[in-house]
Amino acid sequence: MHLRIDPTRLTTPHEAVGDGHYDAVIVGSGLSGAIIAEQLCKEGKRVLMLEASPITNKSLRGYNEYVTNFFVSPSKDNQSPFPENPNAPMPRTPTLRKLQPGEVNTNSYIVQAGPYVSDSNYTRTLGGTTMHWEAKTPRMLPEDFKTRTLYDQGLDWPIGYDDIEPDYQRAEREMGVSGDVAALRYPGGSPYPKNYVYPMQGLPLSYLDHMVDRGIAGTSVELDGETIPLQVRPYPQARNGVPNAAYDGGKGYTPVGAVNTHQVDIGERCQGNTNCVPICPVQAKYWSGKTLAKVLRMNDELDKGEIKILPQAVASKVEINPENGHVSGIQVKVYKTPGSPEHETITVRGKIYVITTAAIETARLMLASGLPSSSGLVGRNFMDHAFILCWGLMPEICGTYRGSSCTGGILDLRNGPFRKNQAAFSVDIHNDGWGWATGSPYSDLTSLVDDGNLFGGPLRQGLVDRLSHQLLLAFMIDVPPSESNRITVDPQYTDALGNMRPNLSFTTPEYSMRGAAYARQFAKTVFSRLGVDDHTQYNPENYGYVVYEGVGYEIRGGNHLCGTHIMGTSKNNSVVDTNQRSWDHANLYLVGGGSMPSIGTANVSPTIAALCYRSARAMLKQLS
Amino acid sequence: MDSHDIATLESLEEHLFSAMVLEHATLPAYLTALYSIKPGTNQDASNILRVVAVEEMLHMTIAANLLNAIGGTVNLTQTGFVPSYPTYLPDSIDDFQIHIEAFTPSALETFLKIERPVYLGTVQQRVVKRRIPNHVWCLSPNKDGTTQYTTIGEFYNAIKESFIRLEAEAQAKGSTIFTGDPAFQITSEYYYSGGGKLFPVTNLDSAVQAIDLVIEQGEGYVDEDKPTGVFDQYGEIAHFYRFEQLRLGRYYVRGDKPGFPTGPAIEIDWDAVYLTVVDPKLADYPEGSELYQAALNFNIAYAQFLALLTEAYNGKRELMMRAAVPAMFDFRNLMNRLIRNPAPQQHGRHAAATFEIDATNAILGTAKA
Amino acid sequence: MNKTEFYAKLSTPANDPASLALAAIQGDGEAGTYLRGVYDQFLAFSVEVTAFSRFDLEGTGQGEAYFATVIQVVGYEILEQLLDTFTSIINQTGGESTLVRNDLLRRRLFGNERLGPIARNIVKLWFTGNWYQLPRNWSEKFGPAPKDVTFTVSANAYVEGLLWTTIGAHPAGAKAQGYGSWANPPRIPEFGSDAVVR
Ligand SMILES: Cc1cc2nc3c(=O)[nH]c(=O)nc-3n(C[C@H](O)[C@H](O)[C@H](O)COP(=O)(O)OP(=O)(O)OC[C@H]3O[C@@H](n4cnc5c(N)ncnc54)[C@H](O)[C@@H]3O)c2cc1C
Ligand code: SF4
Repeated sequence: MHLRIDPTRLTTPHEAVGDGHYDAVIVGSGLSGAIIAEQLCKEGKRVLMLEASPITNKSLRGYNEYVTNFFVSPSKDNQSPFPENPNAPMPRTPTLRKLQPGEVNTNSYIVQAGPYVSDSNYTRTLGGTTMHWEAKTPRMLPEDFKTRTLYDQGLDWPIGYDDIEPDYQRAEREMGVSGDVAALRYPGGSPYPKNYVYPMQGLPLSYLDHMVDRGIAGTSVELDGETIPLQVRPYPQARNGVPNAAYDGGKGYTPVGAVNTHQVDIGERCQGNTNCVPICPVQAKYWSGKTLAKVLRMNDELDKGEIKILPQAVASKVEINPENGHVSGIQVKVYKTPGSPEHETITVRGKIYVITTAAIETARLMLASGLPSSSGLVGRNFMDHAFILCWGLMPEICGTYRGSSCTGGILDLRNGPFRKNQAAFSVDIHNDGWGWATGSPYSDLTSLVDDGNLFGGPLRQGLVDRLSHQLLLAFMIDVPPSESNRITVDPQYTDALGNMRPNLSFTTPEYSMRGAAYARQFAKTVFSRLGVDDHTQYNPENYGYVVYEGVGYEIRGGNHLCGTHIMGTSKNNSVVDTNQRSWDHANLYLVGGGSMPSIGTANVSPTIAALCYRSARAMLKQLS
Repeated sequence: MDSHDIATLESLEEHLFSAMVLEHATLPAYLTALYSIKPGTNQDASNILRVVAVEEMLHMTIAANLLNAIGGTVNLTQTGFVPSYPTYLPDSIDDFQIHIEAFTPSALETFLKIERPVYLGTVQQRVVKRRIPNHVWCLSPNKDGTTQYTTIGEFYNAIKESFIRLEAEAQAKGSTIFTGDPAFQITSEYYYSGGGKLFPVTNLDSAVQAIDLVIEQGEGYVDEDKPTGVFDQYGEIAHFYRFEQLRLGRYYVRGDKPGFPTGPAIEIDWDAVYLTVVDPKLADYPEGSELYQAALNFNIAYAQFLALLTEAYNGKRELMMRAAVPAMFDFRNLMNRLIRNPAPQQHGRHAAATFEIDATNAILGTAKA
Repeated sequence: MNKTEFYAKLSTPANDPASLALAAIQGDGEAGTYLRGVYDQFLAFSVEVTAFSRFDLEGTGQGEAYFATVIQVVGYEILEQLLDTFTSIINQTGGESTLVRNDLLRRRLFGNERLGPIARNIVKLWFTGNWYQLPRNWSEKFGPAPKDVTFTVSANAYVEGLLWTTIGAHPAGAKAQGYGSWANPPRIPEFGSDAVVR
């Protein structure tokens, strides 16, 4: 399929303003924006999509430039494929530093007000953060939707697992999920309907996963009087694998490969480039350009709906009609080149407005527009998974550094009565070694050469000993909502276009820290069963360093941004309703992770995508 | 019945095995050209060569499916399976030879000849009478090899007609020619190659569909009744036209007439290529050198790969994914390494893999009868 | 192009160092012969300190680029000094065991205040494609070297890093090993032999 964004699909500021007939203005071209556009166009609607970044990656050449940017960046940081753009900046880890008490870091794009520094990021480019997401796609658990009721923690959702289960299926089709339902049906896992299978068979577990499983299978841990058996289970993932003939009642599934290519068929099956984050070189991993390609084809070939895309268009203000509270337009700053702040300001209009700029930017835009909502909750309850990493060397060669970033993990501690006292977690086994924790493999090489004084044969042996044995467990820990964890804006801090930047104040809740402390203990237990030489070390100089009950940990951001405009049962306890429609502004939808009142222990995108289908139905109803 | 027809099941089996030989024979040439391109340059040419090479591998697998469907035997370890380069192709006797060489204008011309389109005609027009030089392997409808098909497409058309007729004859007697073990069929689950689906061949319909896919992906049709031309009905472009784009410096887009592409321009930097020894032999490399050893190791690995494929085509389908595909990815590295090494005393030319498989088997003493 | 011309050209930013180096070592006459000699020494040294064969090193296609990089960043005199030291160690230890040779390499090369950091950087170049900024005290004493910052020589240099070959893996984002290959044990090549794994 082609992502044929030819000139007729792009619009100009002049046209976008002049054309008053849009059914919907969608801000953002990420997962959420693309799915909403696809659902609306399918029903013949006309859509204007605003994208803050230039859209160079619409061609294979442009996409490959991103890959090359990554190759030539010696730091290989996870935003390195994506060029700097002061007009629509994004968070970048190298700009972070540890904060002293009371200190604020204003050098990073997200003003870090502390006390905890978040290294989570998102990508402002065509395709949004799906350009560099890892694409793990577990569903949330039914219990995650009612943690207040069950565990006296966090907030209940106004809807339950069963309400969105069919939408999970839609999301899994759209994102092209490979997964092994049989291995994921276990007490305490997400319930799948009878006979359900994923579009593609599960990706094989890595050799490393097998080695870990061999060491822990059949053992268990005790937690709050409960015995929890351990084993390595596969993760479902939105990357192409072997199509499952049994999918869709035997109709099967056709994977969607690279979309912006000309006469090149690639990406219909993952090859194991081990580079899912920050960019899959062959597009075997889902990115929302695939959904956009579908929208464009629908427009062109099936004559269904119409999408116009306005690139380099930064939504800057949501304008409100004071009489009825409806949104009357979105003010957009359209710049000429990323290198210069020169821009023109226009206002675009549609019947409904859909903001899909992800939790931080959506809150930023609403607050910058002076719209904290009647509950005052815009920006509040910001959530993100807290990660702690534990790493060591396996006794045998396990062939680390091969396969997609993560194929397997330990999923049996995602739920249990213990959630009354401490946060649950899921555990990833990283196929890409200690990279996340220590900068491996480069840091290992430089230390073996510079400090170990090795060269020649001993160096090669040293590399095998150090790298091929690496095991890194990443614990993804539940973080309950808290109103004081929040995004704000401040006119002091703006970007090149004069848009206010997001400010983040965050403290990792004690409940989550208890989970983190247990995670560290758990890792020690697992390591002892595996005979792992534990190399975990938390550095007090690093920005994520937190002391809990006298012990230091490094907490890393999970890149799973949620909760800045949570959904609820009334305009007093939430910002949006169960359709992600703003309580205050009847023609405004805030779509994305921000609507989620809890985060649980699942990577968030399948849930975000599922909610999009629900919202799209409401939008279509409203438009009809 | 015409004397050019494939009249017996045995003859059909021979033809199908020849089809595998043929599809495979182009691979060393395409892969060498592909990897001779300096990394990061000639993106368009690289993409085209890669896609074509990958599809040849697919076609070979389809031929294996066809052969297995009628209960034939697939054996890629047989002497002569990999020709000695330069080699004639069945349709090129007295015409052109195919070489293992770098990506050059003359290599491109050869590729265009390999993939030249099918001119559908009468059976009489389909074959030509030529004298076959001694020791030249060829595809021929009759045992003495005095006639050959004019194009690969004609050859496949003859196979298709034979399938239709032999199955009709069998059906008339209440039997079928599709007596092979369905568990030998390689499907997309076992082998994915990008572009083109692998489906099981279990009856006449699937056999015809499989043959059509090979013809359309390979040479494309030029025929009034099948006005598919540059792109087939699925929007896929045939190899001939893929290569022709390189000659004409422009991509075809849908609706273009053959010879007149109107898509984006293609530029070729003929200098950004490692010029390799043409039709290299182990004997071209100093005996005992690292280069010699590496070239020999490549041949050994390749011979093992053919043995592995043979197993995979003979019921051990899971070997396709588990071993054969990783091996293919490995060859890319091994070939690249050879090509980047200058070959001593070869006038500044670089080395390349020699693909002397029979010779290697002989050295190893593992040649199978 | 004679030796001085080549070295001078290398310091002009507009020139592509790898192709310059290639042209220089393929050049005719005395200068060509001379530079070929230096490049041969460079490869011989690289073989010694990476434990990859000359075939493997040339198989990366990066030899000329690394040769040029070292000259560009620290100048040819220091490289020639390093290579001469290496050659004299080899001459001196002809026929003796690696242990003896490594002792001398450590004492006179890796342990040399001026040459050690350069030698280590050449090792790192081959393994990662990155030039790493030299230690500060080196620049203070022997510098300044204006181009001495951490950088990746080229996208291909990254892809050809020997680090990945060493551990039977592949550089993240390139040279993928195929669907499902990650379920197999890694194929770690033996030292000093071709990377075909049996
Ligand atoms: C490193 C990393 C790994 C991840 N791994 C996983 C994973 O394994 N599994 C999982 O489920 N999730 C994962 N995520 C999270 C996942 O990427 C996001 O949940 C998902 O991409 C969110 O999609 P979205 O469309 O809501 O937002 P985004 O994808 O962030 O899209 C927002 C869009 O809005 C545009 N935009 C922003 N501001 C403006 C503006 N003012 N005007 C106009 N346009 C604007 C942006 O350019 C972008 O196109 C990961 C994230 C990261 C960073
Ligand atoms: S492992 Fe590779 S091919 Fe597969 S999705 Fe990740 S980057 Fe893409």
